[in-house]
Amino acid sequence: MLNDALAGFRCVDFSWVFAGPYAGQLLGDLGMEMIKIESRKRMDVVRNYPPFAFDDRRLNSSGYWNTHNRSKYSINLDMKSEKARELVTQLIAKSDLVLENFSARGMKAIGFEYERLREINPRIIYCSMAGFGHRGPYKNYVAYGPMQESQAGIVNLTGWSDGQPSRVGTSYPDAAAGVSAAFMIVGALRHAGRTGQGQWIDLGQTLTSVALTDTAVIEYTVNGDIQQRIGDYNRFFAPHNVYPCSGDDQWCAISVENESEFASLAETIGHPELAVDVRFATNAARLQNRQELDEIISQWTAQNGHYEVMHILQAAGVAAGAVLTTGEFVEDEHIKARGFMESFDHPVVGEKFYPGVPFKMSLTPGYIHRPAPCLGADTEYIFKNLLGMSDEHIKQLDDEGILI
Amino acid sequence: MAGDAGSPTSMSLFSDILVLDLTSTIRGMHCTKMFGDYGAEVILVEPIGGSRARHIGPFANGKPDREASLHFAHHNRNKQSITLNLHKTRGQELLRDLVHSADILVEDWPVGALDALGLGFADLHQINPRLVMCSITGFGQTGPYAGYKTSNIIEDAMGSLMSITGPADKPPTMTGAQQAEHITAMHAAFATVSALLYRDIHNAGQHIDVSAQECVANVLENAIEQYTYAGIVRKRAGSRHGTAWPCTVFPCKDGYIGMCCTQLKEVRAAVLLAEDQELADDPVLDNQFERRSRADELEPRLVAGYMKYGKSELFHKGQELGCPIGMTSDARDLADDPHLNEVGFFAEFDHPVIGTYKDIAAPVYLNETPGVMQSSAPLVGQHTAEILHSVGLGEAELSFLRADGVI
Repeated sequence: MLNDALAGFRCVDFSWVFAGPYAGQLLGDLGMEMIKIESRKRMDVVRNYPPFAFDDRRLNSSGYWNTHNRSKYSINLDMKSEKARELVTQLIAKSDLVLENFSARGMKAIGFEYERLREINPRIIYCSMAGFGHRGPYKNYVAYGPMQESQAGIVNLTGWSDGQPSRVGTSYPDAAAGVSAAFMIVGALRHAGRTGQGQWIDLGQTLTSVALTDTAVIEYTVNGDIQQRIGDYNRFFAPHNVYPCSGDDQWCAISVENESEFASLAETIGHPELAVDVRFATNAARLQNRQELDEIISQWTAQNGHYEVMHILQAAGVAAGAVLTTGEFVEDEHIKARGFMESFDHPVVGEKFYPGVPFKMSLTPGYIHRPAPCLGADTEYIFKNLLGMSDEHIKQLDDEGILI
Repeated sequence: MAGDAGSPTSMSLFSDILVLDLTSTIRGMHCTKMFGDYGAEVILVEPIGGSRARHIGPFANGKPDREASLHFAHHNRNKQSITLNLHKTRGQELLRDLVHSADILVEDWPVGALDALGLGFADLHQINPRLVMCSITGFGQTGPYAGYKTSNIIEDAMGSLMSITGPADKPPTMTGAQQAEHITAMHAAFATVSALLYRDIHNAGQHIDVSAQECVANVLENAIEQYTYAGIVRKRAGSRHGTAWPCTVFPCKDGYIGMCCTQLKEVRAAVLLAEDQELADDPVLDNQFERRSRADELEPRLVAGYMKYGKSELFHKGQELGCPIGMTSDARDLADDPHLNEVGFFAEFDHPVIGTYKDIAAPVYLNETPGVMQSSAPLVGQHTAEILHSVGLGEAELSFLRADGVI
């Protein structure tokens, strides 16, 4: 049996969509027991988001849901009922963490705001992930990843200087908030172990993305400069771009940071003289003449496939990376050698591959502990094992419509 | 330090932790910063001439100076600096001395480079079996690309994020502000703190191998599953969301706004914000798939309305109507934002060369152990003597080490 870094820790998980579930995915893959609370009346909306394994979009067949909710348990509870809230109270008393990404009003509506959680369990770590957090003038503003990215300043810096700013091709702020939450949660659990003190992690999703704008703020406050988007260029180094390759819509990224790398690049593309050409010999000159240089490099890259360009340049000590499609990524020999994609057998969709854990820990390797649960699949298991409930009691609750 | 700082006497989240920082890229520096921002003691180990990051712009007032790199200052606040020549035997010995009392060591060197100096995990684990060592590289420590060079654009490309970012009629587009590097750093910090918790309980350190390529691919939401579930290779298609509408970036009078409406009431709010009552009453809005399929035809009507107003006005007015809208903020919008300022998102730093300035502080608020801004970024080797005194070296030996090019 493999060691788990987070074995013995338990979470009552109200999170849904992407940000909260991504935090839970990371925690669950390292062995935390994640108990996700849903109901047939109010299931996680991404259970109905594409892609689906079947054309009829049947329940429990969403790849979106199944990837971010593996390594978790699912129980059904109608949170509108007093009895359900009592059961959740018992679960919280036996847990280390409560996780949610509702709006700032959400937990109050179901009767579990922080004051109440602390009454139930003084050592509890409560992680809320509202769009703008629970403090400040925007605390009640609605916010989802694709527009948080705008508000946070990342969109303005992504894209081409002669066109509109661009969203990143994924709901990036959700993921950034999710991994930030997972980091703070484990830090707070450790602190609770050390001091006995529980606490409230008040994470604002938009704020965790603003924190990733690199030097944008400090450049403004120190130099008065407002950074602008510049496509695939780097402000400080050249060449730095994607270059067209021989295949259809095939590209390879190349970035050069110093003279010796540039000399290797020049040699490899058959133009060693560029390294001593006044237009390109220094980084400053290359920045000045980067368009001209990019044209010369493109003439060479266009004769080769994107993988070929990458392998040839890397062999020469130049940073190069093929722009992989998602399909190429999954089939990539390096990704396969690393065993990054993990497969598991799911009761509805069968055997599929999923992105696994993006780091390897020598003593406590994270891994997908169990397939994403079908809606309510673990209700009985959790109530029996955790709350010591009898079959009759569970049946009674079910008859009363609590376990809907 | 002002801002969201906890009282220095209260216990901070990582007040018992010593981090040795052998990093000089964002994927490394941002990771150790996350520990320093919450109270860890972080010792940045630099080569004699200073970190590579000190030579990267932007620079204060545009003048290249290794003490005035804003890139360095932003990523290295709350850290102390020691210079150590790790290519000399004595420098390696001193690092091993520091490892004795360290909890965490983070490094972003090329694969095998520290092992070659006798400073790999196998060596350091012998010295301190409780050490958590985190190695962050572009492609991980194993596999055919392990030795490949990297940078943000390479990671965006190889993690396949770039293939789905940007307009269809442009080349694949890099993320702004180095997102591949940042997201990698955050996953590294999560793995490291998890190993630290395990170490507390089981008294055993370990080695963590972080791959930037994998971290990027891990945050693609559902794009990888589109391939593994449905055989669909997603293409870049601009800012429009695949299923929700309106969920994109729109121009307005003085810039751009971003919005993402999923529920009908939010869609109506977006339309009312454009002052198009006729469209608000149109049943075309009722069906999610129908309104998305008619985006080309409907969006100009919204834009016509939004072009009459500025981004800030649209943001607040839209939010009051219940529309999930944000303005496409630039640096000034962020620095002046009333919400960010009120919740203590920024702190004031005082740096001997750069001066006094405002920058982002610890982004997440913890009610018992909030972030602690301990200091601005260190000067090259600012703490060398102090740190080496603490491992028992005297003044005479320091002079000798200086003369010998070790520190």
